Amino acid sequence: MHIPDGFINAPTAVATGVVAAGTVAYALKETRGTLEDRQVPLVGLTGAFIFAVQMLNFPVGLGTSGHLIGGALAAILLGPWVAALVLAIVLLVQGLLFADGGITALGANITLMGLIAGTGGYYLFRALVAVLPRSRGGFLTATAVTAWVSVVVASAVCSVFLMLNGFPAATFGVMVGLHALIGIGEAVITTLVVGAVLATRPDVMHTVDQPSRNRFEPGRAAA
Amino acid sequence: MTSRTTKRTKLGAAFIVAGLLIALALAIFASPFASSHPDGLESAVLKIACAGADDRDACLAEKAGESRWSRAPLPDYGGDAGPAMSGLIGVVAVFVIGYGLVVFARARRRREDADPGSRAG
Repeated sequence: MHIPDGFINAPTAVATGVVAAGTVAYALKETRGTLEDRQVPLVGLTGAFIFAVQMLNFPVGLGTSGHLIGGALAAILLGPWVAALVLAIVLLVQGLLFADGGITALGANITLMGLIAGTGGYYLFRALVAVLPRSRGGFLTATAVTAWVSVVVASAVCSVFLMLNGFPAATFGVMVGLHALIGIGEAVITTLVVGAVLATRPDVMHTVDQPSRNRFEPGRAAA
Repeated sequence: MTSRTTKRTKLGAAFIVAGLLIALALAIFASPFASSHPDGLESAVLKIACAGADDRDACLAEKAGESRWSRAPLPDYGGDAGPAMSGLIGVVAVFVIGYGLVVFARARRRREDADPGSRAG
């Protein structure tokens, strides 16, 4: 879903650039306030993993491929704002080194994949966990649904950006339809990775209650 | 900074190294096998805006526009030749930037928190 420079117009690029700059600034503030010492390497590590898996396009039929976005994955592992920061770093490297996603569209891409799929995905996940059974199955079901919805919602907003640049209204349906397929891949990969971390190192996860230490809440300053 | 002694409060170098090795392995060895079909966004634009075009690739490239960042050293992940090397470079770059950014942000917070008037010693 990496938008190149030509797909969006200047006002959209500027507006999403402002949103993305605010997101990154707030995410940095939250990150330094809530991240524990031991979690410092997790930002780079999660980003590196998401970068790698984003390279692995899988075919979804209709002559189309998709790849992991990773916003929901980062949010479930690390929380809403660290996730936005992780995706911003991944997108920055992709844009600067590999011309994957335009530079003037960087703000739009961070808005879609960091703020909407990542931060937004986190709050959907919390809502789902609250209503689903408090079990491993419930947790992973919430993970899968969050991953799928995060891709579909991001694609819907992306299609609005395109329509603001003169693309026809049919763009919405095509984008959402294709990403409903791609979202299945996102759900499978995200659930596999979250399941693996949950089984081996649940202590590193933001969304798992930590009996051995105080759970850090978003916005709570580290003592 | 308080020192933490219990085992579970340490992330462990082994965990980080294992995670990085998995990321590197995927980026280096799996990336050449990635599907080369257009992704969801490109495919949507092809269907919407390039359906009747003679050269659909050229139509998509025209819609995507001239990249406004011409200094990317490995555009399109180095094309057919470069996904493994691009994967290696990208994984390392993301990890280093992510690590450095967090260390930098936390160092700034400590400086801001350190109130010179009340600092003991």
